[in-house]
Amino acid sequence: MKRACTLCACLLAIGLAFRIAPGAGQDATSSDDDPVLRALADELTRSVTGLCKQGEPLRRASYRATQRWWVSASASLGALYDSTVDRSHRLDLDLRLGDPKQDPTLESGDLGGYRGSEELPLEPDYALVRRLAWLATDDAYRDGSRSIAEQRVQRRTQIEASEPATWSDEPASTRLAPVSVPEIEARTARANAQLPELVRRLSRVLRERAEIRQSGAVAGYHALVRRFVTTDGMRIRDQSEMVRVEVELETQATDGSVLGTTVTAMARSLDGLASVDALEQKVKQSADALVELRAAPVAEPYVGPVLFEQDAGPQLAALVLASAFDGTPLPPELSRMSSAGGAVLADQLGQRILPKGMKIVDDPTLDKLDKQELFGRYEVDDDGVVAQRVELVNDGVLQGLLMSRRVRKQIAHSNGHARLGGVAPSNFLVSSNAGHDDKTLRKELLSEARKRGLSHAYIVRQFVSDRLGLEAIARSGRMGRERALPVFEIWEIKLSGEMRRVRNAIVAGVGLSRLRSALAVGREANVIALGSSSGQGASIASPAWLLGDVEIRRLEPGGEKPPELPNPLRAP
Amino acid sequence: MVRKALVLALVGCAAAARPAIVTKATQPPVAPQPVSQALAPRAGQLAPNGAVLDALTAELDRAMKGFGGQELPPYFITLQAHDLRAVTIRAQHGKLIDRDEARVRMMTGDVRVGNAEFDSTHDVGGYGGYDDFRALPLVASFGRGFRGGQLPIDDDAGAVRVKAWEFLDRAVRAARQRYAEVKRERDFKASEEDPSGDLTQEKPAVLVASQSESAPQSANRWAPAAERLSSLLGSAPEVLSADVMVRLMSDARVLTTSEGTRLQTNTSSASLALSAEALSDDGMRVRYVRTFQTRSEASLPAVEQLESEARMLQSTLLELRRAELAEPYTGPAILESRAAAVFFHEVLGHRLESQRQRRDDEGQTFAKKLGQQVLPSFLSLYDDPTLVSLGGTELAGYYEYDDEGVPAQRAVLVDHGVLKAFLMGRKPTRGFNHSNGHGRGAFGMAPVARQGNLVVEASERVPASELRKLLLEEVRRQGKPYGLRIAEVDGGFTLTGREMPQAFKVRPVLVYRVPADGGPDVLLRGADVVGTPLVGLSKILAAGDDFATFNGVCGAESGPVPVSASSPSLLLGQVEIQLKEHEREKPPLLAAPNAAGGSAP
Repeated sequence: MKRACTLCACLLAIGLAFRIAPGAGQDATSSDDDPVLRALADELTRSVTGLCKQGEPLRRASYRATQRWWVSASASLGALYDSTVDRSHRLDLDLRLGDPKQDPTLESGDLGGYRGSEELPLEPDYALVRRLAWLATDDAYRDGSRSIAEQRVQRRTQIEASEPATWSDEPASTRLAPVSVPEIEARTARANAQLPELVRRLSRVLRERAEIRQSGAVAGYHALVRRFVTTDGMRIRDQSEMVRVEVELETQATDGSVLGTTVTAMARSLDGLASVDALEQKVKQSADALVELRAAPVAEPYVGPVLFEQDAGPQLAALVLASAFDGTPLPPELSRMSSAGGAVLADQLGQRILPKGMKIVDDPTLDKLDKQELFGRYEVDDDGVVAQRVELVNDGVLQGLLMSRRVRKQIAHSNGHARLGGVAPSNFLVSSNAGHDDKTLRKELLSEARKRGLSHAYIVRQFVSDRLGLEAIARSGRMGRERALPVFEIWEIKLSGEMRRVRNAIVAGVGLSRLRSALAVGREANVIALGSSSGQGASIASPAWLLGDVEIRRLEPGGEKPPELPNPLRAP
Repeated sequence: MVRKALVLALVGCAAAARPAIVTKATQPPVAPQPVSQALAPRAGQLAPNGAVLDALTAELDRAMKGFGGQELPPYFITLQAHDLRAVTIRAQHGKLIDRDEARVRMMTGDVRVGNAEFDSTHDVGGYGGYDDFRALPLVASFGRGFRGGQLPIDDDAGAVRVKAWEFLDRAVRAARQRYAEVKRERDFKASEEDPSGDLTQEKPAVLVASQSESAPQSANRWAPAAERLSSLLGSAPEVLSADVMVRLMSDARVLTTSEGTRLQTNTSSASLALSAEALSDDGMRVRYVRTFQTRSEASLPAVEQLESEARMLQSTLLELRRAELAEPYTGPAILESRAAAVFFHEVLGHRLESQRQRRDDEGQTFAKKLGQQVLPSFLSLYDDPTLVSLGGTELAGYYEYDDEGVPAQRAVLVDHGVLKAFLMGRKPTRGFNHSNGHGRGAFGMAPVARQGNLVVEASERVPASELRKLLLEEVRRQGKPYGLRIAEVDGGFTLTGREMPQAFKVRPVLVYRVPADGGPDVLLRGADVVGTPLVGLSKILAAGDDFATFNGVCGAESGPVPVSASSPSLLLGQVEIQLKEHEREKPPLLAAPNAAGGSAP
């Protein structure tokens, strides 16, 4: 079916404007110097003009080309297992077809439109980039047309969603960050020279520790150059780098329980990484703590007040709060099911969701919080929208949500938080103007325990870190579902103030509703960094939380027996 | 449900050659007897660059001793490590699109509890066949089809020993558990038709070659060639995709067993694939791939020759794009040599693998046909992994020792049409209590009997012109309007189990209609050759005097392994053609962009 294509003329004009009228705030660099940007802009213009004449109107289109350089190295017991240096160049495209009010992709749970992906040449090449963009666009357009036809048939038998999602209009912008590929390649080469030795050294620390039964160090360096061209008039080029090091340690208690922890370090550049000596020291301390933990008693089941301090403050915010602010409307089939929640927070805009005095902002424009480095900074999000500070909670009242361009009736525009294929936090900063100092919090904890007739309370300082990646957080579901969270560092505190460390504990039933009724929060924020396999990062800052009636469950001891023969490094 | 398709893929290398001029390995040839070809390291003695072999052996010895006094001790252990290095480059339409270098050192092993007559790997059925790894003859399995784990790439004996220690501890536990299970299962089953044991007795072999230090280094040299070749392939506007991939690999392997086998070997391989795709006017995606697979980068064809291949490939692809659609057909056909080689690999080769003679879920097509005529008397068949080349073509299935540490040996399978033997790994089968060095598996997969270099020989041969004449005579005799000439294939597969039909498919690329009236051959597209094994083999009427090799990668229950198959052309009295999938895809809606910024004319 052919349709009149009223948008074509306007899109063509926008397309041409890529080359002759860059937007405000642009870098001096012209896209004409950049063969990839130029090829994408030219092909976008041609595709939109040409495909408009075919059938389904092509409302919008966007191309994102990502050049990626990465280095990874891993080692155990001082011996290198893997050392890899690689690069890629990939085109992702997103087409919007048909009636903007009935965009099937927005209702299907697919965050994008009709998507395609294509490898691009490693070295920028105008002709081949255009050719590959042409073929990928053709594929995506056909898929889209087919899908729209199917959706039209389905619509005849379905009642429309009460809140259909919409793809937002955003202002055109041009940001062309200068990029020097030779410099990136030099840094990649440096990372390739340094990271293998770094992981050898960090893992060697654990070679003589008989009690550590499994250990390994992994380091990764990522550099990204992204280019966006869209029919909305966005023309963007940005660049980012990230270095991440992780050392994993595992031991086994005599009752069979496996105990593990991870030492993590992140930086925006190789030079920003902590010194090897300092990292070695941190690994040694963690090994000492882990070995000591083997002798600790197993936690007893408990319901009562719990103080989440040190890393556990921001970790709790990451695990329970950070994913709750995803403002993307759920597809109708999920939202009907919705015990999982699904952006239920959107219905609470203007309502109190946290204790009075609490504030949350997510700010991807920040590099630092006081003197602490933050890792969630970026210029534009994955939709090409400029990163923006968002006030999420003020004085405990919900003010906003994290939005991509897939918007909802209450929030008509993106605030630049499209990340990792969905919506994710950047620098997620929790604070309170009614916070207490550590001493007062502990006093409150014991007072609450006393009120409940308990002989002791618990202080959690660190959760098990395997769920604390940015990808895991972004995909953990919304609305702070109540979850069972395994704990690494937990202390039993007697009413007398005497403390002893225990192990094998799980915090159960902590969700957003539990945070809403927090008994108290701390004054000073602790900050944790979250990494991802794609090289994107985030930081979560939060004070301590004192929660009432938290359930502590005991993780029953047991497990595989240790090896029957002695370790060959220590065998006679 | 048991389903397995044994697949031969990745089209092979150089074409027609003269009859079987055999070149043996230039390295010390593999003798059928136990060998001692190099320094055998004594305890504590390091072989040259032999840190990994020594470390694995030390840990293996410690395990045999340490577990020896306990209940259910292991009676047999193998440890094997592969130091794999690979460089891959890929170009598309004249530009490099990927360049990847990787190195990984992996360990695998086999730990058995019981004894050679009945051990923890015994197949008692009821475990779901190949779809369940427990039915495979392995015990040290920590996941489906994966045995072992990663070793450090640093030659750090201590770190290697720690990994081997962890592996062996878990493997011994798994073997004990598995032994209890198979004993229990045996008690509930009727006695087995094939009472063979579980492990053949072989004399230990020792070969410690100097460890290769060199990774494939010459990817840089191939990058411009790949760009140039992909540009040539894609130079016609009808070509939608034009890809060139070069992969250079090396594998430094060490293998040690509790029987005293100590091997340290180096192998390398190189492959280059030219691939192009176009769309016919009726929307069929037509793809043509040429792969050159050799034992070393130096043996790859010269760039000038590859350029000529690329031009030929493109021109054939464009011809194919315009070719007539094939129709379902049954009647006489010539399988030209490479197609005939794939036919034999699929139809007969897989069915002569020893494990298929004893498993209850296998078709056992030839299990009881030893000494019987299974082919015309003018045909013989053998598999010889020790052949480096045949008629000037390197053979992909060359190796010195199989993946169970047994020296590769020539296995005469069919002599003048009479079935003589099976391909044997270390799993015995009725009447065969020794391996002939065909126990093969991809890394992490339990080895089973597989093909290496399968060779078909004909004692009566006719020139190509005569073969064509015989075809036309047969066509007329059967009253058919035409016969077929199948000139090129890109692979095939077969099903050998009982649950699914015993069928095979060979995937031709170039098929010609040969009219009964002697008119010119007509190129067809969209045809597959299908059939069943016993009928297929019974229809062979004559063999040509040509000879060619198909080098490829064979996928079966022990994973992908490189193989070759060589054969003369064959005349078959009957083949069946079934139509290929036809997508009816429209060409791109817009014309291709040109470099000037607009659309192509």
